[in-house]
Amino acid sequence: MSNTLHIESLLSGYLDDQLSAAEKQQVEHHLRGCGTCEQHRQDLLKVRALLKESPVLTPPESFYTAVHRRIDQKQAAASLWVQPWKIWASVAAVLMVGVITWQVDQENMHPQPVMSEISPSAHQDLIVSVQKPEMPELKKMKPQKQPLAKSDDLQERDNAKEIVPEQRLDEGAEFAKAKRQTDSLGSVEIRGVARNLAVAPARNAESLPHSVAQSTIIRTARVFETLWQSYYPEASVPAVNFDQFIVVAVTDGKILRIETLADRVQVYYHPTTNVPFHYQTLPKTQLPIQFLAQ
Amino acid sequence: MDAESRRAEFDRFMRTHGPMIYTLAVRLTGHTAEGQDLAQETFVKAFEHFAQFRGDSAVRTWLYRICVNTWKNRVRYEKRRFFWQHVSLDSGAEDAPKADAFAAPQPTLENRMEKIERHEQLHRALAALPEQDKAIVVLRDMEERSYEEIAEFLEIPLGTVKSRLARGRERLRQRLITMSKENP
Repeated sequence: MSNTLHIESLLSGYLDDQLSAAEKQQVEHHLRGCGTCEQHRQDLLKVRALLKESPVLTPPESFYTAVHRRIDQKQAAASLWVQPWKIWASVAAVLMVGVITWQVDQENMHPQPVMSEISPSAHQDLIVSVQKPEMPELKKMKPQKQPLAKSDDLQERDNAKEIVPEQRLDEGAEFAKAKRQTDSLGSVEIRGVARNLAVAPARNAESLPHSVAQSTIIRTARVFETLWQSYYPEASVPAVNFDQFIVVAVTDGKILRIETLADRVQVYYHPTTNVPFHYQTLPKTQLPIQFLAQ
Repeated sequence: MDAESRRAEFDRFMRTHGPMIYTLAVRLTGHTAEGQDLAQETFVKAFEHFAQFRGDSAVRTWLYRICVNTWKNRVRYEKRRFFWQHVSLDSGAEDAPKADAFAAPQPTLENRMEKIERHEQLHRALAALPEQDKAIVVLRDMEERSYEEIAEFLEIPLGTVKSRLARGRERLRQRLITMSKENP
């Protein structure tokens, strides 16, 4: 049996003449005495022939028109972008020169390096304050008297306040991008999943900066196998008895709990990029299933 | 060369290589609409560097590489979403047989292939493969690229090309057998 499997693993390379002379001889010797492997070889040849006879496609005329339109759009966008880019680059350069000049002045006024005596958070405050109007006052203060009251927690909280809007922008852009791609697929291709799939824009920007969690209900082994292998191609597919159970699954998220109410089932999940795919089984039900991000 | 002449030349170039790239893109993505979008993006990128490659004998390979790289990037950054599309294809058939295709008995393909709707079934079987396996099968058996070219395009070791090609072909064989049993 193991010998048969070994030959099967060599058949693909044998068809493409990719085996060593010794392997080739081994395969040919085996094939002469093994009808199963010979049939396997013929099957693979037929599959390959079927693939080869797949026709070359001719793009419709609209394809070429669309390419020209996209080039035009890209060029138009680029021309709009050039001018502001130059302006902002100039502003940034001036600012950088100003900051560097001011820092050099600071060093000249206070020859002793003072940053080493300040905590990292105070260091950050000082650097940030460089661009504020009250800078001259701060400049006169001795480093030891810089506002050090902020605990690390407060510092982090303040940082978070500044970061959140940017993350929300990223998140929105990601979702819009995902939606654009979904739209471009055409209704036929996504119709099947629209029934069950709830695309949930992330609520927690901190945990989901680059992804959008998705959820679905899986009712057949075939779908489950396809999805599982798309995430874990090397792992065997877990056994689920779809005669009695269904699977609820989320990507880029973790299922927290499932609550069965009188009129629906609620699946609570936490969006997180740390978990690419998470599923749970539950007994077959006719109740609607609602996914709720937490 | 003025912009209009350049655009006209690019149009001729695009019409020469359009079918090749369009076919490759549809095969890689497994979807006509998405393949069309990928092929368009390939030519938009090619246009940016068109002047540099004009008259180059390796232009077809260059174009081919842009298409494969663009597809790879899409898979990389849209990986999760991309896979969900395959689920969407399958999830339409809730009454699909529950038997594990890989655990199924192994009848031969003899006299069965004629009974299935060949290309539709092939398309579905290909779409069910993991992305990289599918790409390797497409590049080798449909595009007839060498192992070395595939390794270079996909930036994977030669050994991986061999092992994944074998795995992809075998899975394809098993899926087609299963499909032919479902549609006797």
